[in-house]
Amino acid sequence: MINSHIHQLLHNCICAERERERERERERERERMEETRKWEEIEMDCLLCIFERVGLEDLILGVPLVCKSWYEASTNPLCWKSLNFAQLNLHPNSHFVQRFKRQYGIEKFSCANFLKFAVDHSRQSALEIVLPSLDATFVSLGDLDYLSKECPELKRLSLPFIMFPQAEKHIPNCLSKWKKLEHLSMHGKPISFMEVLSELSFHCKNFKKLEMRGSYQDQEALAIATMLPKIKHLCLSKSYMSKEGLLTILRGCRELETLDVKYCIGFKVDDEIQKMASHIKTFEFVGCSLKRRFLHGI
Amino acid sequence: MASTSNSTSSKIITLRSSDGEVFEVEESVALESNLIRRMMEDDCANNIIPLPNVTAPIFYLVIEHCKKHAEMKDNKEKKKELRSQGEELLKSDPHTYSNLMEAVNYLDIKSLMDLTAQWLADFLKGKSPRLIRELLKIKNDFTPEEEAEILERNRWAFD
Repeated sequence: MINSHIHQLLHNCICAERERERERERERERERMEETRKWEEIEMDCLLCIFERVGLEDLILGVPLVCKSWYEASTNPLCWKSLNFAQLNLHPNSHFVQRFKRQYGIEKFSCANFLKFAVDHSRQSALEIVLPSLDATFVSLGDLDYLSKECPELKRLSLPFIMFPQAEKHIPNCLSKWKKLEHLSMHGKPISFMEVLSELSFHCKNFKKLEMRGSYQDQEALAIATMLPKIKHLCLSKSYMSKEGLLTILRGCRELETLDVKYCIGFKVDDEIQKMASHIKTFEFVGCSLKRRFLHGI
Repeated sequence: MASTSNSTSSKIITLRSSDGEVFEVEESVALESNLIRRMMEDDCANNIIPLPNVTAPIFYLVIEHCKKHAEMKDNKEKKKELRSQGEELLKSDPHTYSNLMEAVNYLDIKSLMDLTAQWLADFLKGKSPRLIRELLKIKNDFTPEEEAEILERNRWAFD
């Protein structure tokens, strides 16, 4: 009798202990759940770090409509520092434009308005703008004006191959507003090349890198050497230039770290050029020739 | 002379996670964290460094990633391996991934922050809001009115 009573007591004790253990386990589980922060509660810093890397398409169509905190983060100008329009297909019938119109309920889409839409999000803090290379209708004089007013912090600008002559002529006027510009890339040398150089030399004190394909007269090579003597990177591949022109640049721009003259026409890299370029860390000159290849034999 | 340089290179730092676990970490690994670097400069080096915002399992993950990241410099295979591990974690346990990112942010480990943010950015590429919510187990906390307001606010440029 006593024995069985003790047995019962022991049993109760064990059960109670087990129950307490289970309760502790549940407690730990609850604590773990609380420690496990969810994506909608993650710190703003982390979200910004992610969103500055997602690119325009996802920044516009994906992340803002996930939840409130993600929307909040997506409106932070830090996410809109780099505006690479060349990654998007802005043709009116493209998949992106169709999705964009559907999602935001937009009837009339235009590239100029889309540019405003994106630039407005950057709230004057855009550092980099890459415009698409083949759409002549994209960059008008008005667009350039808008960019120069709304992007005073701009460091890198990449402009397309085909532009309206009016817009090309207008580039020098814009440069005076981009005082922090460091890197200008143009798929073709503009008609306003000399003015561009003088504005760069006058207004953009930190200017470091010029990428431009074109036909360079000796006086234009001299202009590069005299107006941009402190330039660090010069990419002139697939251009036309005489040997004298190249030597002028090499004599004038003594701080060059990169010189890219791949597939240029007008000179062959000989000992004289090599010697003049010996201080340049990266000197690329494959495929240079005196004449156009297809003229051989004529 | 050789022995002294040896002993300094393998110096061990002791750290304690928020749930009381103690970790012994090589100095070279610990110093990847700018937070720990600052604490050591403020002369906490001889004591146990407390990390009140990081739990043991998450801290373990951080150290693993730091070690692999140090190995991966100039090693493409290792780089791929670390990336696929990160992606795997993101898919199988998105909550732990968010904790990992917060810990990396708190410990101020720049290289690892860049990596984990880039993996996630790549993961989000081309996905709709609905799919993102589903995969990362996020609750849609917009009311229909709020959602309509956001869309309206973004239409101004096209009116």
